[in-house]
Amino acid sequence: MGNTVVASGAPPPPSSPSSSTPDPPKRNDNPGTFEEIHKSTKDVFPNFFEGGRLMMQRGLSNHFQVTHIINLSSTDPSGYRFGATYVGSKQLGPAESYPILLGDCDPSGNVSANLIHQFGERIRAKAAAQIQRSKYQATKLAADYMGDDFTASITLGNIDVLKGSGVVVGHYLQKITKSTSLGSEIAYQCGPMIPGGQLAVVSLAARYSGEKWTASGTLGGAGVHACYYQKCSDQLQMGVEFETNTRAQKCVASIGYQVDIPRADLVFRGVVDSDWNIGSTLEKKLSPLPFTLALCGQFSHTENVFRMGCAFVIG
Amino acid sequence: MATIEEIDSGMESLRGDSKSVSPELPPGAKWAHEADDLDDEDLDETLTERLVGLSEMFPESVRTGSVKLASWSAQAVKSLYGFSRNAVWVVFSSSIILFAPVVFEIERAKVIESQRQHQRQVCMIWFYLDPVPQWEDLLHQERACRWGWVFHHRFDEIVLYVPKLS
Repeated sequence: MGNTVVASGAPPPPSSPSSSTPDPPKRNDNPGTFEEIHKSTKDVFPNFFEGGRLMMQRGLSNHFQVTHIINLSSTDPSGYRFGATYVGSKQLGPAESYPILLGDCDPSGNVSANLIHQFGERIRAKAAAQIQRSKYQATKLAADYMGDDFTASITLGNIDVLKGSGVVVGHYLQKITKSTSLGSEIAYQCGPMIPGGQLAVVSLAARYSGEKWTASGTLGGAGVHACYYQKCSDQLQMGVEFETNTRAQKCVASIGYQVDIPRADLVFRGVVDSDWNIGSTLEKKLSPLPFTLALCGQFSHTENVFRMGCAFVIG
Repeated sequence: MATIEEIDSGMESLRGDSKSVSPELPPGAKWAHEADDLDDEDLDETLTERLVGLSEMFPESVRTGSVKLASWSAQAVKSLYGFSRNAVWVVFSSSIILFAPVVFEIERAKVIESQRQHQRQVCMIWFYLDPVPQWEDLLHQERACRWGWVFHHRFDEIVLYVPKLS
């Protein structure tokens, strides 16, 4: 989904500078949000899809962008999706402008919508909803407070007052030194389906960054998740991930890498798993025209299943 | 002189338990005695039985050890073959998915780069050619390079090298 992509064309109109603070050096110390603690490693791993996909992105103005997607697939239902992105005029950085409204809809009425807005300098709010078959499948309301060297967030998910069910998640991430951040998460869920009516899970997270590497880990009731990221060179980045799930009693280790070759306009990501799964994604810009070709393939040696996806993006 | 003549009909020796009748003969001798009567059609059987009989001269542990070694090595060769088949398949199919596209694209980029270099080298021979009026319309079709020169490559032999007009 194009979230902060501003449509091509003239640069967006300069907004009036918000307050007396000259430039936010505090923003550099902010450790990011808790959900993004494993982000550098997760970006190295490929994202898979199946079947053929044609995506046409068109910018109608500086603020507005429209997407048409056609999916052809044997596993997921094939169809057409129409998406729209609106980016507002409050600009906080070269690629960040707020508010951001993202929407995606289907001819049968399945809609997913996202709204992100920044209030002031520090508070960011998100709202997301997914409607399928005329019912709210998922809703989410989140607020992040970005302090000088910490981030606190609270998220409410699937709140249903009538049934008395919902999920509340609180996050806190603090930057201890220039390279260390520690954080914790508490997730509270209540609902009639849960034995006992309510359930809370606590996890701790830590991240240590070096000059060219980052190690991060999460330890909690849901399991252990450890990640390591290394930037081997300008062209090669590698990531290792180890994930356990106490509820499903499974653990998986994977090694992924990303190869960037700018002179061939190519980004290639590959992953090898401990379950004997391999997969890779190739994205190539076909340069004189704004076309991008994305190919992905996944193969599982144990189950002997091969899945392939091919996407063509125009614009 | 015995009143009752003992008639040796020879039937007793043909019975199965005739060993008790003639205890003085060792069992091998009886066999050897019979071997003279046996003919070529039983020779194969005899050969195998002879070899098997030869093996009886080794002690029990040597015999069982060599049998185990032979069957183990046959099994090992079979499973090594099966394992190497699997391993080679996994390695090659994984490298097709994980490494082949990058390698092909890098090679392609190198070839395109070297072709461009080659073209530029050919260009260098023609130098500082003033634009000729009838060729000026060709300038509109050019792609400008970053040094501000205009390359035009229409034919393999003729290359123009024209200073870019602002």
